[in-house]
Amino acid sequence: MTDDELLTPRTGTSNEALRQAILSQSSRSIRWRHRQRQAARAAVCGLCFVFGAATVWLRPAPQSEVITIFVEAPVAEEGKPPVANAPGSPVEKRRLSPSELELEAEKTLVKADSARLFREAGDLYVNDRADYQSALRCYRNFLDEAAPTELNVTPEDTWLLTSLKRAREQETSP
Amino acid sequence: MTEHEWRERGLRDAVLAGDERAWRLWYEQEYAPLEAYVLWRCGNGRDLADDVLQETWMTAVRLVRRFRPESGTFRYWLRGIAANVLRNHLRSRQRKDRRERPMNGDLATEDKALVDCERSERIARSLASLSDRYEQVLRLKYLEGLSVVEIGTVSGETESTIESLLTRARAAFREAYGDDGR
Repeated sequence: MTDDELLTPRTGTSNEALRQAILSQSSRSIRWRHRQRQAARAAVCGLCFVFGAATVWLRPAPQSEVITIFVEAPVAEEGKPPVANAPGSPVEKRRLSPSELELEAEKTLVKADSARLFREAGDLYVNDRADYQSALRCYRNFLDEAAPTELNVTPEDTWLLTSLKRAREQETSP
Repeated sequence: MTEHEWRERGLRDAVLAGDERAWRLWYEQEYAPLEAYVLWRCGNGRDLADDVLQETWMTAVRLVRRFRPESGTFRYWLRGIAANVLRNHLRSRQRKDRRERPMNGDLATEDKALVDCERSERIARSLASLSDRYEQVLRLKYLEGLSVVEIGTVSGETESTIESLLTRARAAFREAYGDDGR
């Protein structure tokens, strides 16, 4: 046989069955590989989610700051409900200025209350403001309104009230 | 980048994304040229060509990610795979023949089909043993049916160079085939 005979391709029919078999086999391979890739992607996404969730679950909870507020409630008298800052209550009176207390004392018709308020106003004038003229005026009214037992000198009296009580005692003694 | 390169890049990317229609299109377009090439390289031996074709396509599917359109066409890439697959087939057949020849060597020469088969295999071995340059010029001449002038135009060589190259390629083939023409 010559070179040309050996090297010239023969015209023959194509193997159609083989052609179809290879096509279906290769297509299946592509499909399978695509599904594998999708599954791998889904697995990676799932793992990321699980790790993220685990991070949140395993992280120690932040220390909650506890703020304790102590509220001093007014002590209720026995048998009476506590009334916060009711007008005329001791808390309310404590907040009043000495001049307001003096005014309250002027308006009060009950003698004992009037005396007590004059005395408190006098104490505030002496201790808080060093207003001795006003304190003197309040103490004089207190001595006029006070019961005889309250005219005795007590340790709670201010120096001005003590001297006024002694002067009054000397005036009234025979 | 040429339009052909863009097209093949698009097909490759589509196949990698799992698009079976793109693969079918590519396959239908390249099957016949590859089959002709493999048949020629196998010396028209159908059995060997079928095995090589099947393995070539399955290898191409597996390695399609490595195909680079800028380095050459898909057809050229497929031919490269087919040449390697054929070489491997011939090696394994040679080992098998050595083991079986003492037992049925005489019977094979009497059977015409076996004689044809043996001739095809010898042609295939001879072509596989040639250098790429010789294989290319013989392919252009015999498989693609180009004239000497056309081969010169394709490969950028003069007519006389191609004539000389063809003569040397034929001689190399004949030497590898080991036949005196009968």
